[in-house]
Amino acid sequence: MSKFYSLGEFEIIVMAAIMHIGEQAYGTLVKEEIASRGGRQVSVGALYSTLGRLESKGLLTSFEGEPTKERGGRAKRYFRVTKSGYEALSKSIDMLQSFITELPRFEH
Amino acid sequence: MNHLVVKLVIRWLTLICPEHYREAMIGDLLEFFEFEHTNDHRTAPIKLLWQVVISTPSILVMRTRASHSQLNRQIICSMLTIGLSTLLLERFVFVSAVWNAAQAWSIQSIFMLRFIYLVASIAPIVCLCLLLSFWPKFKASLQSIFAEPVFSLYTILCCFSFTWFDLLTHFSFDLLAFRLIQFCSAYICMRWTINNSHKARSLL
Repeated sequence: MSKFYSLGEFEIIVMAAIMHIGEQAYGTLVKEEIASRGGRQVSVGALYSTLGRLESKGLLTSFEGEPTKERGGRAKRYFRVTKSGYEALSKSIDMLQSFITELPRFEH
Repeated sequence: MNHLVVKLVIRWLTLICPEHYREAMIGDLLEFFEFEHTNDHRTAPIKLLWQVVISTPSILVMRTRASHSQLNRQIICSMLTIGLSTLLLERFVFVSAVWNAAQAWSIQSIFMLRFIYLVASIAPIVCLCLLLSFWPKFKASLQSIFAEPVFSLYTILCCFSFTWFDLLTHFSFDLLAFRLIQFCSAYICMRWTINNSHKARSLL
């Protein structure tokens, strides 16, 4: 049985944002997606540090796109969720959901 | 002004970003700047600088490739503690006390005043490093900061951030030389304190 990597909250958000965007997922769009869906402002540094960690674990893959003028001639780096990334994301969400559905009622 | 800020940001990010993401991160920040610039050209450079300031600790942590997130938090915590506390102490306690003392002793020599100011501005950093090194966890993270030259550079930049603004508003080569001496002295003193904290403690 392969080792299951349990994703943290922010890692789940980043991976889900990449999946929502699809093929055009790069830094700025992921940041905007997190802000619009989650109402959470993240710094570029925090985002790339998470993207780098996920890529080093093989849960994401990235490739360079074409350079554009508004980016000072710098290329975008596009991110994709890998098969093992999708499995880790599903398992982490399932685990969270099992905790949430079995949460006892709060009583004073 | 905008051109200068963008140039400075690119230089800084080129220095600190890991090679794999360097182009993408600089590009994303430039895209952010372009967007903000079309909305309000006056606040855009400030927003860009703020993004760089809040992104820097995470980027520096990426450079260490440390897998232990606890250590990462301690590094950021130590950097911010030293940076901000020194800033406050230096601005509001040490320097005003030293200037008051200098006036009371009627010290007129500019060289002497500068020397007193130099010691007064570095003293809080050294004291804080010494205090933090009493805790083994903080000591480990402080040593990690000094293992990476960019970490220490950022920490000392935090410590003296307001003095750089002074330099921008009242520029002179004399002042620039003094700031560089201050910067190098702070680096040497911090490094010595952390690597020889046991000796430094015995001096107390």
